[in-house]
Amino acid sequence: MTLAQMHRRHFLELGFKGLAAIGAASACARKASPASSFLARQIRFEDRQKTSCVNFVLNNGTTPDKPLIDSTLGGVALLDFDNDGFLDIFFTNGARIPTLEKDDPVFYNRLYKNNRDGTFTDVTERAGLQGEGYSMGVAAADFDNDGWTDLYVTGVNRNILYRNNGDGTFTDVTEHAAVSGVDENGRKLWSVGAAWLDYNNDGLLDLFVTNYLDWSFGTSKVCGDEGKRLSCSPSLYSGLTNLLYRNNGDGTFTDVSRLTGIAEHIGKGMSVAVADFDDDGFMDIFVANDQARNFLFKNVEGRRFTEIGVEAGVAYSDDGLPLSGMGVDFRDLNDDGRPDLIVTALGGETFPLYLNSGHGLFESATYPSGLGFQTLRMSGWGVGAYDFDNDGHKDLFTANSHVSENADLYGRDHYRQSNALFRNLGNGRFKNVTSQAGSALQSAAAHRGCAFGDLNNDGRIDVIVSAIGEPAKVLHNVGSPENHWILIQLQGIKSNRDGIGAKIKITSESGQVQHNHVATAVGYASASDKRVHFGLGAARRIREIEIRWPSGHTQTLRDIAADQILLVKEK
Amino acid sequence: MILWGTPATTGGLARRATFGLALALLSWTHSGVLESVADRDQKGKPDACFGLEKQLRSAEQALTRGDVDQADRLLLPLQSSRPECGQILAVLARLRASQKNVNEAKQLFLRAIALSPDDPDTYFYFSQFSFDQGVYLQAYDLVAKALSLKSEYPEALILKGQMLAMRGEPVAARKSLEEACRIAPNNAEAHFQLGILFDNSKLNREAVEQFRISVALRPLDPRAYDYLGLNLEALGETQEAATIYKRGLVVNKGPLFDYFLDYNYGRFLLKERKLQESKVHLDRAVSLAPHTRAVYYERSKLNVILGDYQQARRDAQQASKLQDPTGFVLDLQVYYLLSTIYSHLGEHELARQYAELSKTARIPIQDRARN
Repeated sequence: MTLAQMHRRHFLELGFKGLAAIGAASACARKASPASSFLARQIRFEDRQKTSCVNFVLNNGTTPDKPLIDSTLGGVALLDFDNDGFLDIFFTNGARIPTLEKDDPVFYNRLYKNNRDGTFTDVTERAGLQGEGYSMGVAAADFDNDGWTDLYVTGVNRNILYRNNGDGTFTDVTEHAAVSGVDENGRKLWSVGAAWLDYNNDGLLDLFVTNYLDWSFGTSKVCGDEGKRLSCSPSLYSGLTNLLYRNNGDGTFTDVSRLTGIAEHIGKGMSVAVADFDDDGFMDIFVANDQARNFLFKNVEGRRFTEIGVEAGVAYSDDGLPLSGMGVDFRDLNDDGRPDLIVTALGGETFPLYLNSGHGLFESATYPSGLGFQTLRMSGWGVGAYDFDNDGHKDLFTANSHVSENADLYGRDHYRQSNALFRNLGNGRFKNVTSQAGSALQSAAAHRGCAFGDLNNDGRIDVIVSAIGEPAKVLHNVGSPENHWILIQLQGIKSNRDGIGAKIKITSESGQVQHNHVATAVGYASASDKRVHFGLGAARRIREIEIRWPSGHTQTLRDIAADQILLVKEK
Repeated sequence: MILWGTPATTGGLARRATFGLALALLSWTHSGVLESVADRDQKGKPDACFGLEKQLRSAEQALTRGDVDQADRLLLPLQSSRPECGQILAVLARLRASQKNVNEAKQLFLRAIALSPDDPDTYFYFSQFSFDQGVYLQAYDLVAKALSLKSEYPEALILKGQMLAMRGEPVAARKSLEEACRIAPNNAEAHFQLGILFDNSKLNREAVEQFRISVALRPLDPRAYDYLGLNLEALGETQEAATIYKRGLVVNKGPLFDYFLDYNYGRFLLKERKLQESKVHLDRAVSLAPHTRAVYYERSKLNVILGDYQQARRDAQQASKLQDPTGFVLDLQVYYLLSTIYSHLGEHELARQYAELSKTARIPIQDRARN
C-alpha cells in the first residue's frame, strides 16, 4: 500500500467528514502566490463554547481562606478516545474543600465526545470518568499499546489511571498498575502535571509525574488581608520529588524514581514536557518548577537521569533567578533540528524562551525574541507552540490569569486576563497579535490549562482553555485557510504505538525544512493531540518526510500531498 | 558616599531592600527626644525673633543656594544680638548640618526647639537632619510633632510618608504623600516620593503618572527620569522608556546626580540587544559605582552575549567579591553567571562547581502572598 492509499483508506475508515474542509482549503490555496514560500495570514479564533455544547466550568471549590490548591488546577486533554478520527475533550476539575471529594456533579471531571458537526456530547458518566478527589492535570496516551488512548489524572489526594476499554468506557486500574502517586513511604504526593514517554525505548510508554508542594490543610497558611485573602507563595512550603513509573508491559508499573535518579531532586513541579534535546535517541524531561529552579533531566541511555538544568542554562530566568514556572512546551521553535523551551511564568517574570544551541546548552532568547517586554505583565499557565496560521513557523499561545482571585483588590494586577497569541515572524522574533486575533482572545478570565489540536480536521490548530468559575473556551481557528498543512499520525510497531518521541523532519516543495516530534504533554498539566501538525505555507506538496522512531528506525516518505491527515505505520 | 539612584532589579529585589530597612525600623523604640527637650526650662520669649524675618529669609536663601559663608556671615551676628531667638539657631543648625558638623547641628536643633517649642519648621528640619543621620525613630517623632503644629505642611507630609513606607506601612504612607500632593500640587518631591511608593508596590501605571508630573515640575531631576523609564519598561512601553532614559542622561548632573541611570539604561539596552550602546553605558556605570555588585553583574552578562568571556569572567568575579547586603543581585545570580561563563570557556569543572553553588545558595522569601 502506498502512503497516499493509506491515508485515503484512513479517511474512509474514519468516515471522515473533514474532506469538504480540505477541499475548500485546497481551492483557496490555488489563489496563493506560488512564488511565496509561505503566506503570512492573520490568525483568528472564535469561541464556539455555546454552540458546541461544551458547558464545562472549572470549579475550584474555593473558600474564603483561598487555600493554595484552589489556584493550580485545570488540566485539559484533547484525545480521540473512540477512534472516530475526531478529537474529544477531557477536563479535570476540583472538589469540595476541605473534604477534597467530588460530592457533587459540579466537581466531576468531564469527557465531551466530538459529534463531528461542531457539537459535543457530555459522555462522562457513561465513560466512568467522573473522577475522585481534587484533580489537577491529565496525561493522555495509549500506555498498553491496544490502540485506545488511556488517561492518567493527577490530583492533590488522588491520581488515577484510566484504561480505555475501547467501548466508550474506562476502567480505573490505578491500584493494579501501581501508579497512585505515593512516595516510598506510601504518602500521597500532591501531583500536578504528568507526561507519557518511553524513556528506555522498550516500546512501552512510561509515566512521569510532577509533584508540587508538601502541603496539607494542617500546614496550610493564610496570606493577604482578611476578606481578601491571596494565594500564598510556594516559598512557604517545602517541595517534593517527582515520580517516574516504568511500564512493565503487563498492565503494571514500577516506581523507578530512586533507581533512575529522579528522586534525588526536590522541586516544586508544575508541568512537564519531553523531548530528546541532545538528539542521543533518548527522551529527556523538563520540569517547570514554581519558585524553584527548573529541572532538565538528561536521559542517560534509558538507564538513569542526570539533572542538568543549571548547566544547560534553563534553570533560571534571564536574571539568574528562579521563576514561578507554570506551563511549558518543548519544541523546535526555530526549526534548526533542536527542541527549544518556552515556559510560562507569573507577572514581572516574562515567559522565558530558551533556544537550544546544541552541545547541551540553551541560550536565553526571551528578550531577543521580543517576548520579554511583551510578556512582562502577563501571568501564564497553559502554553503551546503550534503553527496557527500554517505559514511554516510555530507560533505561541498562552492561557493567562493571575494566581490570586483577590489580586484586583490590591490594585496591582488583574485576576482575569486575556489569553495571548504571539506570531512567529520567522526571523527569531515573536509579535503579540492577540488584539488582531478576534474577540475571543480579548475576553479575560481565570484561564488555566489548555490543549491544542485540530477539532474539525480542517488543518488549523484549535485550542481548548479551561477557566476557573467560567465556561471553558472552545477556540476554533478560523484564520484564513489559504495556507497548506499536514497532520501526521504515527503508529508505532516496535516503538510505542502512539509514536511518542518520534522525530519528524519535513522538507516542503519549496525546500523549507521543519522539525517536530510526537509528545502529548503540552502546556500546563495538559495533554494535546498526538498527531503532529505542520503548516506548509504555499507548498502543496512535501518533498520528503523523515521519521526517526524511538526504536531507532528511520523511515522516509517522499512526494506527499499537503492538506491531509497522514497515517504512518512504523516499518 | 551616598549614591542617589535607582538600581533596577527584577523579581521584587528592590522591595527586598526596602523590606530590610523596614525590619531595622521595626526595632526602634520611642526616641524620647521631645521629652528631653521639654524638660529643659529654656523657653524663649514669644517676641525673641520679632523683626528678623527678612534677615532670616536671606540666610535661608544663602543656605539653599549653597553659599555657606554668606549664611554664616548673616547668622552669627543675629545669634549674638538675639540669643533667645530659636529660629536663628534652627537655620544655623541646618548650616552646620550642611557642613557635616553633626554634633553642633544636633545641639543647635535642641536649643532651637527649647527656645521655639511651637515652631513647626524647627521640628521639621531637625527631623530631616535625623533622617539623614539614620536616626529614624527620632526623625519620625519630630516630623509628627511638626505636623501636629501645622497639619498642612507638605514637606513634613512627604518626609512622614517616606518613613511610613520604610516602616512597611504603604497605606498610611500613600495617604500622607497624597495629602502632600493635594496641598502642594506643584511640589515635585511630593509626586516623586509618591511615585517611588507606587514603584515599590509594583503599581507601575500609578508610578508612571506621578513621575510624569515630577519631571514636568522639576525637569532637571535625573532620578525622576530614571524611575519613569523603569516603570515604562515594566509596562512594556519600551520606546518611550528609551526616550525618557536619554532625557534623564542629558540632565544627569548637579546635586541630584543619579549614579545608576547609566546602569539602568545600559541594562535596558542590553534587553533591546543594542549591545554596543549598552556597553557604553555599562562601562560608565562601572566607573560611577565601582563598589556595586549590580554594575559588574550586568556588564558581565553583556560580555557573555558579546562573546568576550574573559572580560565576562573578570566582571563576574568582581561581582562575586562585592557584598550586596541590599540583595539587588543575589549570590545565586552571580554563581549562575559564573557557571555559564565557565561553560563557554570550556572549564567544565569550574562550571560544575558554580552550578552546584547556585543550587545551594539561599534565596530570601520575598513575599508571603501572591499579589
